[in-house]
Amino acid sequence: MSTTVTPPPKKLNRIGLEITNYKGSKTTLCAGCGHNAISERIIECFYELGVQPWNVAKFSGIGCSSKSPAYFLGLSHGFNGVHGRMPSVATGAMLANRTIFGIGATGDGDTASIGLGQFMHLLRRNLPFIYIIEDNGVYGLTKGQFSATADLGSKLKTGVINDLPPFDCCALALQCGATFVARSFSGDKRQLQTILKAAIAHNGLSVLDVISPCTTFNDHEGSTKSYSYIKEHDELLNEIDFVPFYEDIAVEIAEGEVKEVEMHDGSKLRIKKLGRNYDPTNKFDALRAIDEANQKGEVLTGVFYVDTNKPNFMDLLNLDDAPLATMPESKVRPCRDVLDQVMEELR
Amino acid sequence: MRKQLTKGNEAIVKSAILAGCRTFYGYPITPASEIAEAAALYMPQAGGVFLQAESEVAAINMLYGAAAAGVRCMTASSGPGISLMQEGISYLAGAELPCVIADIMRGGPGLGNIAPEQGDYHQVVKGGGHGNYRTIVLAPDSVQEMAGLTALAFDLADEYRNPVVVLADGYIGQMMEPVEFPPASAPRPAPGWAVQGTAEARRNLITSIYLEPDGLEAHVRKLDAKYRQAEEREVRAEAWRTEDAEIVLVGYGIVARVLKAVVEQARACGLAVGLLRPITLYPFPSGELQRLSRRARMFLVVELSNGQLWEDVRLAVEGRTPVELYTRVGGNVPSAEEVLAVLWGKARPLAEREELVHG
Ligand SMILES: Cc1ncc(C[n+]2csc(CCOP(=O)(O)OP(=O)(O)O)c2C)c(N)n1
Ligand code: SF4
Ligand SMILES: [Mg+2]
Repeated sequence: MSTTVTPPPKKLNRIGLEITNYKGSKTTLCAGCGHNAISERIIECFYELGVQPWNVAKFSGIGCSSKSPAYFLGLSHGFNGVHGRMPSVATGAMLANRTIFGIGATGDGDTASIGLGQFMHLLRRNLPFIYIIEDNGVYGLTKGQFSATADLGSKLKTGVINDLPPFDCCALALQCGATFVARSFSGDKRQLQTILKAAIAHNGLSVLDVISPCTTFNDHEGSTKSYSYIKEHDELLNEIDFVPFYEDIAVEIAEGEVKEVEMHDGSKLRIKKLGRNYDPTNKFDALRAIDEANQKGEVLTGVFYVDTNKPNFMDLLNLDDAPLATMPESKVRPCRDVLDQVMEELR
Repeated sequence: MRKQLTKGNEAIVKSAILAGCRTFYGYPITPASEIAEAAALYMPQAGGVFLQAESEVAAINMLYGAAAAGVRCMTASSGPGISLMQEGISYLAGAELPCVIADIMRGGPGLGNIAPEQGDYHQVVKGGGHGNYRTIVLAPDSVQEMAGLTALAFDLADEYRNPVVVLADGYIGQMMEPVEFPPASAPRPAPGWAVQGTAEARRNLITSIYLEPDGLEAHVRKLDAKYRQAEEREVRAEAWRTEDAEIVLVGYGIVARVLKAVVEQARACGLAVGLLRPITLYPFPSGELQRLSRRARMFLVVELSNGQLWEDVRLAVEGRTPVELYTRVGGNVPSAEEVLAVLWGKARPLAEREELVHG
């Protein structure tokens, strides 16, 4: 008697791809590194929302975090840039081809130290881009020196205490013009997934500061970016839910409890208040919440701010819908009148 | 003083402190990070200051300020970080300010890799920043020299009021050897030209801006005169068994150590081979090479870069003698046997031609 074993049917997403199509090469980061969990969430979210992987370009700087794009979305394009300059590289590439879906994975050293200038100018420009800071408070790749997001009083393995205040990348992002700002924790699977999905649906600059412990250099007693410290001090700002545009789920919303934000593509982000009187479309509320939490030593996570109205950078520049990189000559050649005018001015 | 087993990168910091340096500004990068780490440990112990800057651009500009205020100051980095410092180095040289920069070279261009290379030769020896300036460049080949040349670097920087670079590769930075450190000298008082916050120093002007063409020309000529003086006085090179050499190998840093083994092996095979090891890459030992070219029938330059040192050797020899080149890059270092095989390959046609002449 022979038996045939039928393998379970492969699960396909809405564009007919399996989850394996969204994976990258095998990670070479340390076991337990928070960055690995972030890569997994990116894989799941891009798969679940059915984003075309070949339409995506991944950008990074230099660091362990900046290596991580090799470990997700293997069918996408990748650009491993210069230490701290990823925002500029991404800006250049995305303006050259506005049809690219851009996502950046970088570190706190890359962002808040050497690349702070580039980061802040990216914030001003509201480029449609997802900027993920895999934030461990140290330079993992160069063996664990403090970065500029290390908390005051945090201790290195060597016993050295950080005596400078940190930059809060979410507060910076809010002040300088990012239109979707959130903080999460690599260990909070559901929250990070929801935030990532909302960022994918957002048509503007999303800044995601994801606390992502470095198991090798910053996961010990005395560190404020260790797994145990974050688990103890994680304070949820809000409870969030994401409904993609292609799912039509009507949910009863109790008035005043939940704020529903409609994203550019029709998806909905539902933000449920937790205790505090807080409006995620109000920048000042967001800044106050961050500041209060920092004063109390809490690690506040959730969606701080969403603005779906501000025009993005491509619109400000009046870029044509066709990508500059592939625009036919007929479209870029100036017409006779313009040429005549130029000649006239040179006379 | 008793010899201490010391890592190359650490020797730089200990020697800097012994030379009276109390100011270190840096940014981590492999394979130079141990220098900043040692400085973070020792500078405060010696009553000095260590600061992890936010970037190499910041670090070199902190030196710009520190040097102007009259302290012995230092930074360290590798390829990409040195590239970022070039603008600042040009300003320091233009404003005639002394400082010491250690470059522990890694593979390039771009991100390259973190394996040892000598590809920074051009950007360091030729002065990779803008304008008419030079930096004095010292190239150690051992941990002992990491210490000795760092001390010398501070003296030369002060004497010439100019940035001095200690140019080593990842190997020498990472290796451990016994080192005899020089006795400590007390931090020197701030020079008379420095900004000191006193009434007397109020008139001191430190600048690299000369808006009038004649003014800038005079300034550049003055810098030039300093460089000519350094070329006359400061050239250092090690000549190893060159007295009777018909073939002269040229290499610096880790390569020179391999080449010494090549000299011995080649001599055992009957070839009259010697080595010239530049210790100062600027000023370059051109005179010594010219002298050797009278007897030598061939030079073989071996470097971990794509012919960057070779250019300077050819300039020095001025076509009098053929200058051959053998390179390995990307983090590879040739073995003595490998170089010997290359040497044989290049020496044979020479020997055959010679036979024809005599024949
Ligand atoms: C110009 C330059 N300076 C220094 C370095 C060395 N370097 C590589 S990664 C890095 C910091 C990485 O820290 P972070 O961005 O926080 O990434 P992590 O490794 O912690 O994920 C540094 C200093 C470099 N590659 N280039
Ligand atoms: S060193 Fe730290 S940041 Fe780098 S891979 Fe290991 S755990 Fe992650
Ligand atoms: Mg980091």
